[in-house]
Amino acid sequence: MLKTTPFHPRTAPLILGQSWRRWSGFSVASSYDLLPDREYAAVRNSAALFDISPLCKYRLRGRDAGRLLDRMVTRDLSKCRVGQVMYTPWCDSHGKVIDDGTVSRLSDTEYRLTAAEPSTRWLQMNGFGLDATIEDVSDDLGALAIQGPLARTILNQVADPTVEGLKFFRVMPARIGGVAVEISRTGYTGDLGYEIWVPADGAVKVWDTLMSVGANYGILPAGIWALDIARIEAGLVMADVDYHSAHRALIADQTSTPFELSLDWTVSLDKARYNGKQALVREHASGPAWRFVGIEVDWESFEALYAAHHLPPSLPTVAWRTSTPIYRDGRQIGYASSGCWSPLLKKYLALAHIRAPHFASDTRVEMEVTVEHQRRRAAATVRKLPFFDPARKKA
Amino acid sequence: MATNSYDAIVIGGGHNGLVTAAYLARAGKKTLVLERRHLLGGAAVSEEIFPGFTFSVFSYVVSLLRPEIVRDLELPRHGLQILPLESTVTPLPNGDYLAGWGDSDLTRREVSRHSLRDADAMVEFGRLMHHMAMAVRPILGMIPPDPTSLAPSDLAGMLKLGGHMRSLGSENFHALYKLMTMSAADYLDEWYEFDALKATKSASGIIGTFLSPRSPGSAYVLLHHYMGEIDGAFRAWGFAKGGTGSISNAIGNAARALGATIRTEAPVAKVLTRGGRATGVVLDSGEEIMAPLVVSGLDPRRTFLELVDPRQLPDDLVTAVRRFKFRGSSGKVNLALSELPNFTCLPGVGPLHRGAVSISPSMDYLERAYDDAKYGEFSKRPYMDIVFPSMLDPDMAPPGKHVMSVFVQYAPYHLNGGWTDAKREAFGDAVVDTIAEHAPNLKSAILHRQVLTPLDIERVTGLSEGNIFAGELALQQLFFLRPAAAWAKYRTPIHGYYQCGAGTHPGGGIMGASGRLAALKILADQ
Amino acid sequence: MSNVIVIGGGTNGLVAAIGLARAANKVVVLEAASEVGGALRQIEFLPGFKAAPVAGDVGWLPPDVARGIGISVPARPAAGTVAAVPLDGGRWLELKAGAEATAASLRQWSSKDADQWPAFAGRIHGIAGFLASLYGAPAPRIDASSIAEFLDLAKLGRQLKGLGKTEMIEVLRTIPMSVAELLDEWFESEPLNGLIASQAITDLGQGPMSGGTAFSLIHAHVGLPAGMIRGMSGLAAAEVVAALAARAREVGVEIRTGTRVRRILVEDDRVKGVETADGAMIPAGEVVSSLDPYRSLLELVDPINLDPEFIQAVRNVRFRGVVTKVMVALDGLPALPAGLGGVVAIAPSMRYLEKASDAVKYGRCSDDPYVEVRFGTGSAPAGKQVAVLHVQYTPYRLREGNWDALRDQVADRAIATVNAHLPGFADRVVGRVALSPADLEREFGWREGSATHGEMMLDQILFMRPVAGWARHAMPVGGLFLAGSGTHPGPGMVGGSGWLAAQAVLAARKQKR
Repeated sequence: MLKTTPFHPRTAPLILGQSWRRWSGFSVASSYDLLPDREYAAVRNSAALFDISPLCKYRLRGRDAGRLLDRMVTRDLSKCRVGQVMYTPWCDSHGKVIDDGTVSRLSDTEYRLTAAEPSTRWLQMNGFGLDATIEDVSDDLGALAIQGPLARTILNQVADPTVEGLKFFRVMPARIGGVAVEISRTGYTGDLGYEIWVPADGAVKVWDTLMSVGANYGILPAGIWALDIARIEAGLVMADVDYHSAHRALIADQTSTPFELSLDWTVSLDKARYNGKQALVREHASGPAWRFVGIEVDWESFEALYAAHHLPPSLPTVAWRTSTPIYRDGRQIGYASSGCWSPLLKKYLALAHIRAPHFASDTRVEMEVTVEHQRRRAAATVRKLPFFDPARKKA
Repeated sequence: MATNSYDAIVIGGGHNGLVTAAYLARAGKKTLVLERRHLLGGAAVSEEIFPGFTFSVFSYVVSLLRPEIVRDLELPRHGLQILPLESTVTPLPNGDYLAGWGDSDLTRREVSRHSLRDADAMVEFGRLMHHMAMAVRPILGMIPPDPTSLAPSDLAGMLKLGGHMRSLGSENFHALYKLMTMSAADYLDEWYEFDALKATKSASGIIGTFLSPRSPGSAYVLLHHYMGEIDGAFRAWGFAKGGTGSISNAIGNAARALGATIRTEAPVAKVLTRGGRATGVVLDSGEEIMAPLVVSGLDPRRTFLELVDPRQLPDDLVTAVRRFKFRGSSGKVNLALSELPNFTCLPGVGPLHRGAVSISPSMDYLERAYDDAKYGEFSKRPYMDIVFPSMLDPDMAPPGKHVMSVFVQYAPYHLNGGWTDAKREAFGDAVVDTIAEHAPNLKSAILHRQVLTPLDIERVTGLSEGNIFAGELALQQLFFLRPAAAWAKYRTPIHGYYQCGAGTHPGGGIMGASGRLAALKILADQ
Repeated sequence: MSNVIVIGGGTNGLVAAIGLARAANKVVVLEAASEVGGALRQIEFLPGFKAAPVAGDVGWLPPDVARGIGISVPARPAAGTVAAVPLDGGRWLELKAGAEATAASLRQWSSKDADQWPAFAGRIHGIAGFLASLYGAPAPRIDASSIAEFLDLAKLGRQLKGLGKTEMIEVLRTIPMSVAELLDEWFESEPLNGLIASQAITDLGQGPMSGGTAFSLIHAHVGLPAGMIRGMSGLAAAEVVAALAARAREVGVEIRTGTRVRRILVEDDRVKGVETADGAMIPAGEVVSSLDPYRSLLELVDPINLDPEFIQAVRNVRFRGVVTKVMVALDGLPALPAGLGGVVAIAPSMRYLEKASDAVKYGRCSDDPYVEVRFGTGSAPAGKQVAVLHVQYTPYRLREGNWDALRDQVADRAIATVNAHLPGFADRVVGRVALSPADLEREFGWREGSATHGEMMLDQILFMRPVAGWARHAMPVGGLFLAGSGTHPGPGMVGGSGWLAAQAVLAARKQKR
């Protein structure tokens, strides 16, 4: 049997369609409702509660814990103050992304790292000769993401102290329902939101507290389908979907650098030596061969492809993750790695890897769509990410 | 006599001989296969040893059968069906177990119980092995060029090989070099920390060789486990429905369908030659059958020293064949059971019975098993690879009853004082006693027992010294040195006399590659 | 003119320093001990008794190196018996300096072996000659990416082809074999096989039945005259060291003894100099370390300056010292073969050696160890003698117990073992001092007590030494070079690695310009 999260006793009875999916060896909900629509709507309208416990979590402690992480990741962690969280990718010596996640500085000598893939071995390899202990706390910690415009309102009623003063990408200790937790103002939806890190044995209590208070504000438990749409709108890259870990890719062509994922802002070129720095400095000078961009499908063109068959346009009900060719002037210039219909923006969106020089914003391209068993191309436009970036996210 | 003359005669109806025959027949050659025994397959045979109980008597699992052979000969149409072997479970001395399941998430979770670091390492190690298998794959499908030769085809071959090596990139080249020169233990030490995990993995590096997992040269056999995966024909390991004999029969059926004639109980005494050319064979019965092409599927010792007069051959070839190492090191115990063994580490009938059980609890355990053998004794507590074919294919045993196949290492061919019936039984007892420590009901469940020592393997299959690979898979016996320098390209010094057995490149396992490459070479020479 | 620091004043360090100083550099050699010489240093182990515990034989001095640094050290060609195994009844199986003499000596044991000997010696010599040609040049790069490298590779191929067809096959066939398999093809006398095999397993954590040990036999023969299967270069350790030190001073190398390096300083991926144990900073544009790869890279350099993948590769280098040295003071010599110029080997058979090696797998010391005794070495008060015992297998990593508790037991066991084969030996012993692998690590700085700075096995030679991709002395930190025998071509010779390292420093400078 696959693993279950600490919230399983509460989440399992709510999954109406038994629509489970695998995430890092865990069973989690694709959606609780039979369709993801209401769950997605909660993200942008009230608040959605996601069980994100399958994330890999590591606690690093010791005099050199900061040095260990700083030599590993591309961002300059020397600027990370206690109570701060930084999102960052990390690379191998060729500057190819291994994984991405967040680093929370919990004290002078204690950090928490989240990762999509198990990372014990890589952390240990990076920790050689350093005074730092590495502890896998993945199974000890449950994690919830409460995301949406009312997330703060709900949390303020249950968290002691409140999160009123908690700024974007900051973390603080608090109690919810008497359980000691840590709350970070982070998320994977591009909206106002928080992530709550809770000891496994207090997980159910925290869930119940949030759900009972949240009921007054339209809180809904939400699954991966809803999360996927939100993160595509937010232009957030997903490991194993939008890129392949350098530790898992079978050939070099399957790997990406942070620049190729348009994560330039996470790459420090002036901090001291770190994994992949030399390669990244070189790439920065010469310019990346690929960029990760938004694709907005041209509605008229899309509609016309269906109209030719006397059909209305058919839109995906959930986000897709199949590699889809992108063309320009008849030549393939890249591929989309995920896409969805944005219920909020009312646009058909995709996230795509585009080869130089075709990745400039507003470049006219075409995306392959299959209409009545035939491959067609719909006109589309390259857009800068994110597609959706509300002021409330950071306010 | 028209009926007694053929275009080609293949000596030995083992799977390689049958593959060669099928390819020759496919090319329009009137081909005859002569098999000594009453059934086809050599070491890949299924026999009803005890009434109602059918065993893959010798070779028992398949992973490496070349996909091109499966396609070319349409083996599924001729009866080949491969069933997946799901897992490997290693009982541990402390009552726990280590398992590798079919699902990667479950395996990760299982290995994490023992070592988080190893669970991570498995992913990257698997990727490395993928690269290594990709690096080796073209070599397996290549007629080995002679590096000492200046002939254009050999130079072209060396160039191709050199180009392939360079195309690997330095990281993969170095990893391959390490794999070829290191011991399985050291190679695995670079990746893993959990002893039983290393032991179980390295055990696959010693199968069929007289090496310890700590001896350099044992690492690259690790690759065999991964070769099956990349070619996608099956998963890593599979089990042929009806036992491994059904693989041989499928190839035999394919050969017949392509026009080959197959005679069993037709042992060949000698290859007939005239003026340095093969002209046919003479059977033990005295019957002579003529053909301008004679192909030996037997091992190099029989091919060069028994079937022909070695005085017809160059001295250096005879010396090389005499030096070629066989050193059978493994035995087999086949059990007919009234019920499945109940393993205390995972009680009840469960997924463990649908996969392999590996008795490889620690590196020291394997080393001690080897120490016994290197001084001429069978291992008191041997390494064993156990499967329960009746769990995968119910036809192998009467309803409710089971067959259990135990591959056992080490059992040296050259036992101190020689093998006797008493020693064979003592060997069988050591096997049963050791397994019974993990599954106490085993002894009372045994209805019948067949114990095969390397000497028995030699007697029945004809493989010299009972070596299951028709000659050790040691670095100095591979590629252009298999079986001997300058004679690795399936030819022999006798015109029209060829070799196609596992004693030629690439050899080993139910792969069929030697048989196929030999046929391609023969046809190219025509 | 820029500063170069050479860490370690062993032969490789001195050779590197001389090579660099001759190319007009200011070179400082920093040696932790009170005198230079490294492994060749003599120790006064008991009052009046001195011996070099590890350097019975210094190995060969490649002529290219001698010419390159401008020294000449007279070799006294070995004569008489180079190695002997004591047998029952006071008889000896002896290997002599020349092939013919050895054959004659073997005839009393086996005429077949005597007949085989010259051919065997010739075969080994031929293959060793091929290795010698590889050892004089930087490690080949198989993944040749440039034309020049490809030409190197083509040269390697030509050298191999130049051997002739049979020899070439023999090179390829023999190198991966076990020495047991190799000798099975040639000889029948058990003590002869034991004696030859003991050369192949020296300093290895493997027995003669392990793959790759045939290579090790051939490696030991590189640089020696045909027929001399047991290493005997005829060079005197003290003379080699003296010549190197004198030459170093002559070309302006500054040698600071008693100066231990604590850290190699790195800034922005380049060395800046070193910090010594007393806290002094010595700036330098290049640092050449002749210590083993592990100490050089993972103890002296802050690991933050190295990629995790590289660190992992260095951590994977196998050291695994298995030898204890016992320095023995004697009040006289036991009965020895006439004209013994080499060693007495307690190696009655290959099986004996293999049995001895089993212990190491389980982290124990051999009950009946392989012991090699070198008489007449070092210096002793009048009427007294010194012998050095090489005792194998005694693993650095013990499964149970520790070396402080075990050291004396192992020494006693070794002396008893010698006495069992060479009666009367124990009665001559008036004192002894043992150096376990742990002591050798402490005393000489060798990781895990490995005299070879990393096992000389097939996966740790040529382009794999010290780690794949970094076999040409320059390390990933700019200006940092390795010159010890943990680098290509490795142990068993004087200055081979140091000389190539000096060339690598100069080549890197040229490239930078």
